[in-house]
Amino acid sequence: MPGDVSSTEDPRFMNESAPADAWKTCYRELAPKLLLFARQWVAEPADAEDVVQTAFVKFWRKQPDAQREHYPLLYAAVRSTALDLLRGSERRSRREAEPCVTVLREDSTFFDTSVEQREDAALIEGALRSLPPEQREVLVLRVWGSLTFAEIAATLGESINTVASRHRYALDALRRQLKPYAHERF
Amino acid sequence: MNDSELEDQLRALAPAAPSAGLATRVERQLTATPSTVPTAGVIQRPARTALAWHWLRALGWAGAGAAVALAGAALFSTLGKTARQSSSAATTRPLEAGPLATVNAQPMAEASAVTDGPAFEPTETSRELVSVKNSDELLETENGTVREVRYTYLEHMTWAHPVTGARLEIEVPREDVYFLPVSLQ
Repeated sequence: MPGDVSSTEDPRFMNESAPADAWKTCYRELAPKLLLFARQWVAEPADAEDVVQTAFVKFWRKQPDAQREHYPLLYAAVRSTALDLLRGSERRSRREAEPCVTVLREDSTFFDTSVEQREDAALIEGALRSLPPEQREVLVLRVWGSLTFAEIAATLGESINTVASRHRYALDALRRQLKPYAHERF
Repeated sequence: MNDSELEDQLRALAPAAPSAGLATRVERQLTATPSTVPTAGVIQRPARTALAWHWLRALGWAGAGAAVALAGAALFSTLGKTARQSSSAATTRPLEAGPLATVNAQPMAEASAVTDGPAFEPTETSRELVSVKNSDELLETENGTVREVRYTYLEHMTWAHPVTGARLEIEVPREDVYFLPVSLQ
């Protein structure tokens, strides 16, 4: 599976002997997560990839010896870049006197799924999209980014209590939305 | 379903992988030399050599010493000037009767030293008091309040050659300033 990152989930992946290729390991591990995080703001996958590219390059140039504890900075860079892009799009829309509407593509999904997971993924993605953005980003960072509450708080510039509350609200909302299907799938 | 179980269900879905082109673009950008020096990083301060540091420190101490010496000299000069003014005021008292008599011999002696030749000899010296001016301002000194009094003279000095009878006459204006205690006036 392209998004399977379990094989590279090693917090000590950075070794000092090969700094030139160190970014590749980091990229392989984090790129899918960063892309999912970027797509919380940017609808188009191509735009989301541009966001990840910009943020990753900027981050790696500043932190060429990045370790696991630096990952919140990378997520923060993605968030900042995505918001910049979003603000630019909004300005462009206002300039062109058109309403800024985020058009979600029907064929774009957040997840790489097998045939059996496809329906579940669609349900979860729909439930995710219905969450408030501040709850959704916390949930994505917690579940798929594997960040602690402290790291999420550092990434978002919020308190740990706020982050934990948003996470709890997000799970509650997801549970409510997925409850009709719980007897079948969840 | 509790929170942990729900999180596990969510985590079972893997995020979509980016396209292969993204990795290529990132690699190209990372391997390319940045066109500008990143400004967000901390610019390391250039290392200061030990020799330069010692030299600057020595220069600093020397400058501080020179400043102290200048301050001391200025203070000493001020004190000396005050002392001279005080002594002048003190020696003025006996001059009340006749300041001319006290200082009369000094110009003659100086003139003798200057014209100490084998031929000419001082024969006559005199001093003509031209004016006396009392200042309207009173000065505060360590010895009390004094008034500035200016005596303006015209000195006549004459030298004569004993053999040839030649005469040399010089007129020199002179002004003496006295600080007289106000109590004496």
